[in-house]
Amino acid sequence: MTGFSSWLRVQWDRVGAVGAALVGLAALALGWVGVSGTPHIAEQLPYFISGGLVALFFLGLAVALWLSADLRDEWRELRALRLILADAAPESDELDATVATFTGNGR
Amino acid sequence: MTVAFITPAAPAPVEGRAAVLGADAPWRLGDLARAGGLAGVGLAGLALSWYGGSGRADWADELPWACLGVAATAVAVIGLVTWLTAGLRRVRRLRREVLPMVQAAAVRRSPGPVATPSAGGGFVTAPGMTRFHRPTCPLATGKPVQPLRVDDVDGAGLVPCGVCAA
Repeated sequence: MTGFSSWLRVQWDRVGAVGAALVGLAALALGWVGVSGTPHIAEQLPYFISGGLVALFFLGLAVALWLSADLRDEWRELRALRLILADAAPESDELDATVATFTGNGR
Repeated sequence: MTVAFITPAAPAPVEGRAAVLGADAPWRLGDLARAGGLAGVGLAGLALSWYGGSGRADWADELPWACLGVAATAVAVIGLVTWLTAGLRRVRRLRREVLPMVQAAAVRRSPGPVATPSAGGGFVTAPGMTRFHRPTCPLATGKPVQPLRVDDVDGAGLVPCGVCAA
């Protein structure tokens, strides 16, 4: 249970993405049920707003949260790599010179 | 000598997930304020359009409210996109900063001529990878690598790592 709760805490953005996607799909389904239950456009339009548009927002939120989690993971890996390389190069002058060669600043 | 940074046993300096906000994070407080503000305005507009549009007898009276709902959704989605683009921009900046360091480290560790897989270059790869690496490549460090087979190159279409093997 502790492992699961810590996993939830660490992966809150992906959990939120799944939750937002479920809310969006539920809104879409409820909107569809509401729209299909009446032939009058005046009664359908509120379902279009509360079902379709709200679903669109929550599905977009789900995508944003998931991609945001991927970006955060990539940031973490890059930062770890930067720390590893920085720790591994006590002869920083040599490293700086080599980096400068690659970045074009050493010419 | 700097051996520790490429050995698999080297402990990862950063544990857990990275912070979301801060100077050493993909997003700043301003990004959150902008994205959250736009998303909040969008949600408020959606609520307003639903409130204004429901309970009317004529659909023509509801149409402006529906248009307001569409516009509010667009504003909210723009807010989400600004969040993603801000994070993507900072990740790209960090990648541009780190990549030369990786290349420099690879050059310092593998100054010899490049061998091809068919010549038995001793390359490695891992499931899911699209490239093969030298065993000493920092990008392969800590990953479940296996010796590269020629089938991997021919069948899976693996290409040399741009950092260590190219």
